[in-house]
Amino acid sequence: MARFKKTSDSEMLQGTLDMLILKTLVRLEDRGWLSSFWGASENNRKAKFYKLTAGGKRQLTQETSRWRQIVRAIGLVIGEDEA
Amino acid sequence: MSVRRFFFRKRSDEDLRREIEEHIELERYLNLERGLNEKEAARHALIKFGSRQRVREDIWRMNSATFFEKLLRDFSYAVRTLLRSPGFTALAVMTLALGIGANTAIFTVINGVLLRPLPYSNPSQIVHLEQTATRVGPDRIGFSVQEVQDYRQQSRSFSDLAEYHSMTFTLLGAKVPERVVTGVVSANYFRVLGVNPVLGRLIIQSDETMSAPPVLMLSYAYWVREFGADPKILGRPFTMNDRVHIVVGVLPPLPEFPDANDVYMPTTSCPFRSSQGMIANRDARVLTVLGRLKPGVTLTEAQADLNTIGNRLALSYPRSYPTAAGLAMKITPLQQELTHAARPTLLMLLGAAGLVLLLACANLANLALSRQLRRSRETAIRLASGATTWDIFRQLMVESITVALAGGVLGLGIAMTTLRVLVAYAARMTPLATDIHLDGHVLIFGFIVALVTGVLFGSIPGFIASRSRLSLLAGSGERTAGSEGGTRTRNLLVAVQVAFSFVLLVGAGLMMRSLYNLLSVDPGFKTTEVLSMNLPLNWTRYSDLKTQNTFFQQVLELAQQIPGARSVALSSIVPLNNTDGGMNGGVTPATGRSPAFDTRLLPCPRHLNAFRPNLYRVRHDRLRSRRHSQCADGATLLASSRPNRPAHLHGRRQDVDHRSRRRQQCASVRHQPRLQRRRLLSAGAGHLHGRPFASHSRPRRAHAPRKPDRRHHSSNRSAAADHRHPHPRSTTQRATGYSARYIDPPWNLCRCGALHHHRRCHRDPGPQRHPPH
Repeated sequence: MARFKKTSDSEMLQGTLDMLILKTLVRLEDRGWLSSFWGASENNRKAKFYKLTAGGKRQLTQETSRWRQIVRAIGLVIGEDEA
Repeated sequence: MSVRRFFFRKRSDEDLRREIEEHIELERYLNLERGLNEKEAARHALIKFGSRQRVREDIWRMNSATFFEKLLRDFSYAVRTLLRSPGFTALAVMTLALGIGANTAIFTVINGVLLRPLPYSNPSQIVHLEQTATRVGPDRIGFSVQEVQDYRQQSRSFSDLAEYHSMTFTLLGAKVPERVVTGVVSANYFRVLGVNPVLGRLIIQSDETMSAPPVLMLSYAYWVREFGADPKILGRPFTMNDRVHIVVGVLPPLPEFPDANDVYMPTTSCPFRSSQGMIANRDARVLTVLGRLKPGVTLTEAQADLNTIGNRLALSYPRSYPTAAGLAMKITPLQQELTHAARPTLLMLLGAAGLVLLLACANLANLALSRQLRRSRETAIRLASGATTWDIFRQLMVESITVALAGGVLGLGIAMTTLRVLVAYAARMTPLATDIHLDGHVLIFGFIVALVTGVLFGSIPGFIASRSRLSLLAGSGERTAGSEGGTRTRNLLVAVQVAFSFVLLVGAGLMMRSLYNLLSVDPGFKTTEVLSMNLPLNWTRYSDLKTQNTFFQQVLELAQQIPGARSVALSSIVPLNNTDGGMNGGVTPATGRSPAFDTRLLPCPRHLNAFRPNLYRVRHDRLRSRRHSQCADGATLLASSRPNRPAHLHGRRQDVDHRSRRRQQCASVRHQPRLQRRRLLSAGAGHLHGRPFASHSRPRRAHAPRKPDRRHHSSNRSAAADHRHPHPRSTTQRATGYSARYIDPPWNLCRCGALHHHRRCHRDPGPQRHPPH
């Protein structure tokens, strides 16, 4: 019983992730950074595909560079060499 | 984007559901490929995804406006609850509808009269100039041509001054001869007002010369009424005063200010205004003057400027500006001039209506409160099942606002139906009342009033309800509601409400009382059974006093013979006429014994003939027996007060009587504010100034508007006939009307009507046509 609970907990955690991803996708689409269309997957099933829009690309570049800045700043703080 | 999301959320939810299903299906398929059995594959796919419902709910919430949805739900709940108690609902809606309707109707009038900008360009710069003989009486005495010229040349505060007066002429050239109210204006008049014609052109400077061909401008109302808005009216000739006038333009719809004129002509076309005697006579004060202030000039500066000029003129022409008269200048902004009579009454009415609405609110709050106390069990259940205090409060608010809005809609209907009565009432006080209608502002006002009302009467029950305790559920709701604490609250509320209602009731009652007082001032004479008729003459035919007097004498004699007429009288000015002065002037004895007056100001006695002895008898039944026998000279009858102090006839009857008795020996007695004009008469330039009984016979009241002088300088006179049964009124009326035409058809288009009917009619009833013979 205890073992079962443990596995289901970990499984639940994993599941929540998928859920979050889907919600995030919907939000990103809502902001206009993604566009979606229904298509066929490689094994010929219907699936929804998400694609980065031009605005999304711009946002991504911006966010990525900001992320890099933060990483570098944190790296400097913890004493790594600026390589 | 988000609005679109809100409306398409059902579709996007469906899309999401399909996506999730496909996703899980794919996962299950992959699991199968990984070698899991059917059941495990499905289970793992579901577990991996997590809660499908949760995702959909989250996204649904993301796509909704929760507050409005709750509001909508509250609304539909409120409608259901209200329909369940139709008695309360009907009572509440009706009460509020009456309150809101009254407020909206009065606001509609206020909106049309006080708030809407005047249809002139930069109306705040336009001012009305007036001159009064302050030591003689409150009546305005107007300006003479000479004065207008002086002020125009010497003033520095005005970009221009325009003159105006109104006369009634006969217009030939339409289907039938017609009496038209004609505004005689200087060429710059419409430029000073800042209006543009809807058709043709305005009167221009070159029209205002004696050699120029006479021109006419039609008022919009007259153009539509008589010519069906025919654009081919331009260039059409009409004969007035034996000259051919060409129509050059049509004015836009304007307030009936200074008068409800049918046509306008330049000063040079008016035989009265263009006569040499009139132009040369500084004392012929008959004109109304409007001015446009220069940009940046304040009223005080303009007033000071005018006072300076006035003092200068008084020094140069001491004969025309006697110290005893105390002539003074005053300027009034046009907006104020047009609305000053209506403003206090309208605001007072709005105040009264507001108080009545507040009273309705207080009553309904009490009603809703007791209803809420009965429903406290329901509230407790809702609180117990998870509703927040705010939810309860909001729900009750929505309920009261729903009632108030329903009342508001009904109130708008009430306002629309009662508006006509109110407009007719307002029309007695301001010329702006002709253009009053419901518009967007009024709708917004009605909506806001309804909303505020709803909040006012819903907040107390809402507040009480949101503080309900769950312990109510423990026992019977009724018993708990009647517990000590609840009873105290309710008692307190009832006490407060009764006190509030009482104050409001007293306030509203007092307001109604003052309104009643304002409306019921006794004019001092009876106007029932008196018929009156205005007699405008053809100015060119009756150019001198002798022919005029002969004509009037004939009319009088003919009218006297009409069966049913008991007595007949003539006058040049109607006593207590609110627009032409209320005969509130002072009196100067002929012998000049009174030191305050200059004997030079005495009238020419023959003009007093206009005040035929009978006039007084006809109009003043109550005094007749005492007075009539004493009066050899009709003017004595009209002498009304102490030398320096104007008096209303009302309330001073004894006084008047006494005085006239004392002055019996005086050769003649004059009516001071008219004095300047009377002099004009002796100069032979003009004639008596009359205002038709028919159109403006309303006696002056305490709140009577000081409308700008509407002087009809045509040789109009009014005849009054005392009509007695058993002869039917209509027969007498018709006979009186025909008596003038009998002498001189078809010129004398006159209208005979009951005096007491005309009292209610502020506007000139308009020309009445008689078919030509």
